Amino acid sequence: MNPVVIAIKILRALITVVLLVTFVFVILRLSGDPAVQMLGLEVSQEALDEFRHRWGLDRPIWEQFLSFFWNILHGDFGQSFIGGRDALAVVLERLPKTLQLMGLTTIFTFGLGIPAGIYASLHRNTFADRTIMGLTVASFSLPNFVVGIILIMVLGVTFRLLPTSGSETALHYIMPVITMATADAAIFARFSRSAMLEVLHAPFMRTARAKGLMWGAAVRRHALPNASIPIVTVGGIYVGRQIAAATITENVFAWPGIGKLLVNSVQLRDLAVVQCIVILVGVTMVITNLLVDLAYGWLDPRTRTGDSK
Amino acid sequence: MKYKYLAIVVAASMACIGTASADSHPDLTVAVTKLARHLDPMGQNANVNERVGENIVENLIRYNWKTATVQPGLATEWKMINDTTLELKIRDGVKCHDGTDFTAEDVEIMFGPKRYGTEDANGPGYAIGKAFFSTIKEVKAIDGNKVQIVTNEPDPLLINRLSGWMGQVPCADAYLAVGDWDKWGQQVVGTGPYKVVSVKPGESHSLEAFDAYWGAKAPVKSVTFKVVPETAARIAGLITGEFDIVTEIQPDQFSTITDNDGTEIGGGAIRNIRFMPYDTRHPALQDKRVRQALNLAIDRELLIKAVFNGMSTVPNGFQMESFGDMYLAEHNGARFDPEKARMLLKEAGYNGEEISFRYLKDYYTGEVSTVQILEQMWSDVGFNIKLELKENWGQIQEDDVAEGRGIINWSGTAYLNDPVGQVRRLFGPDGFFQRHNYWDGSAFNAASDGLMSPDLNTRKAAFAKLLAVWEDEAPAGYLYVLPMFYGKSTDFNWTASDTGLMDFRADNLSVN
Repeated sequence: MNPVVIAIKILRALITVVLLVTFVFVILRLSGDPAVQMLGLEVSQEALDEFRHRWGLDRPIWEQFLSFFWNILHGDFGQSFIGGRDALAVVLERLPKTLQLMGLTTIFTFGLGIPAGIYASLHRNTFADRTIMGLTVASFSLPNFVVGIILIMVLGVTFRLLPTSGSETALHYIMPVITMATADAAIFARFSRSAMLEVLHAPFMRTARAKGLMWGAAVRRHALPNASIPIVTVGGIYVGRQIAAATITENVFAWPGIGKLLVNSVQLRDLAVVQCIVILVGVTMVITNLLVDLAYGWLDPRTRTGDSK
Repeated sequence: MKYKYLAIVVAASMACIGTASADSHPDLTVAVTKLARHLDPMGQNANVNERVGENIVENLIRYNWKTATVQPGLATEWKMINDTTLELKIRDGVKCHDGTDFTAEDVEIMFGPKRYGTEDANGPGYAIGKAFFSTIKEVKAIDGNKVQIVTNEPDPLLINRLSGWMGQVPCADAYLAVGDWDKWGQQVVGTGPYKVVSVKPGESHSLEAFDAYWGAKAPVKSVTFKVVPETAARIAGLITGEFDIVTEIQPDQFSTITDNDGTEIGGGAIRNIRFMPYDTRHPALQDKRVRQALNLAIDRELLIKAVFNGMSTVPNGFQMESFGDMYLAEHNGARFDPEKARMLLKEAGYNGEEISFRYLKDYYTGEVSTVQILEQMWSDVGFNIKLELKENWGQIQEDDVAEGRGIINWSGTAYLNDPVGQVRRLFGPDGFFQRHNYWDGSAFNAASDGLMSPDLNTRKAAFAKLLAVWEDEAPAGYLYVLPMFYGKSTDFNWTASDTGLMDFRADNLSVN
């Protein structure tokens, strides 16, 4: 890919992150007073004023924003209101647990969803196709928290097979991963099936068969690479949003990751921590999308000039 | 030589037995929805902090909530040496969690300018602590084991202050060594039966039995407070045995817990009254007859039956029976009289003006259902109430009357176990509602004279007058004594206290 195109994409990504952070910075301050959230309403005005002064919340919002931005450029993400700890350290401390959950979920999502979708497309309108699509509709329709609670009740309470919350042992991973991967795998199954059906009926597949290729070889050499482009696009977005998507599951299973930290920090208006998480999610989204863009060039030579940006 | 080997074997066996015995103390895991932000009582006045409080930091004089009496704590004896000076003798041999001795000097320092700020009103704990210790003028160590507490004027509540919430005294050496108020809040060092070993904000707080505790040793090896926000997950964890106690249980979940072998419900009414403050600046609420009508329209017994399966009580006025001598049994509290409510509304000329009622999603147990039932009861007598669900307290408070806010939710803990720490604290001149102009409390303030008298009868007379003014002015409407329910394993004998404190000391926790 052309270096100029890459530079433009990176610049665009940076602007996206800046806009995102600005939006969150303003909204958080307009939708609840951190001093009240931390100290409660009943404390004296002096206590509230002292808190605001100590954390610089009594300054004009534009001044707070400039100072916040300046500090970020110097690698300082601010301090958590709880214990005055470095916000980045607080977030990084929780990140491994979320990454572990994300990694396992992604493996199961891709490992189950994509093959199931491809299988369904290759056996279109058969019993297997209908069964797979029926299951995907069912699992996609169930919200994560419902799946999570059903699993807790069945596997945890009724059969006592698995622990219901926390992350201490390998067994603790099973229910959160199933909860997250069920709906996600359904998305990829449906998407892979449509992408495959589109290319299976493309003229180049007829040409491949006409030149004597066996059906299996034609699928492997021509259908799969072409179908992979939209799947990679969705996959990029999927990986990028995983940190944020873990929020509900982490809260249901008391999983000590970023998602649970985010909910807790938003409730308390622990501004520096929320901003740090948002930047992390934003940067992850931007990087994965950038990687997806670059992967297009590798998967589809037609995009290498950057014309299709 | 043979005896030497035998001695070694015996010694080793004893050591093993000793270890086994120590290990036989189980770990206690408590699933909660939130953790304290700051573990020093003066760092955060909230039930999440009070919950842990006395397990870590202790009072000079201990209030035994089981017997409603005071008893020696970190001080073994105390006496008034004149009208304004209390002298206390500090217990010998008390160790802090960091191994240092607890002495009279700890008391002086922790009430001094570096923490509370008695002299200069400028300590980091002053802003929160002053509501509890505003009468204290000076705290001075006399020698290693005596301390004098001097008040500005005779204070009938001095013992209540020292024995109640916020009166806990952490250890000074550790406090000075940390040197930062926020960091101190994550590593408070006290003298209690448990010491803080791990603080993971938003995730867990872990305490460990303190072996050098001066009193009866902790009955469990450790206590872990673990954040499990989802109610279903907390109950599931209790049933599967992952948690020993779970907090914030609502009555509609009782049967799930009681139907299971090995788990039961604990808790009940605490020293707290749930009420709704009325913003008298709202055009429709300026006439006190309208506010009185709001109070007369509430069928509190029905509300308690519907929301708490009848497991709470209606307070007789804004007071608690736990006030002891200060409780006014003869007071005529709120009653349900919809006919009179309609009459008062007619007299006041209320014409269905919209009154907004702001609330949060179950910040208080059963808040949403309570609000919905109230809206119906008020509609029945002719009120036009608009329910507004808000996300946080800041949104409840902001844009007040300009946006039509008339009613909000609140709860009033009975600090100091006295009217001064409840109705007077909330509605008096320093209370939130006068400070924020919710109402003109001049009549209420005038009636408060005498409440700080050393004479009990004068105090009672003042309190009776004050309650009568409050009922007539109706700056708020009370509903019920707030209950707090727990799910617990029957493996432990534990009783919930009548405050937010989860008391895990030896006289309230044992293992079956």
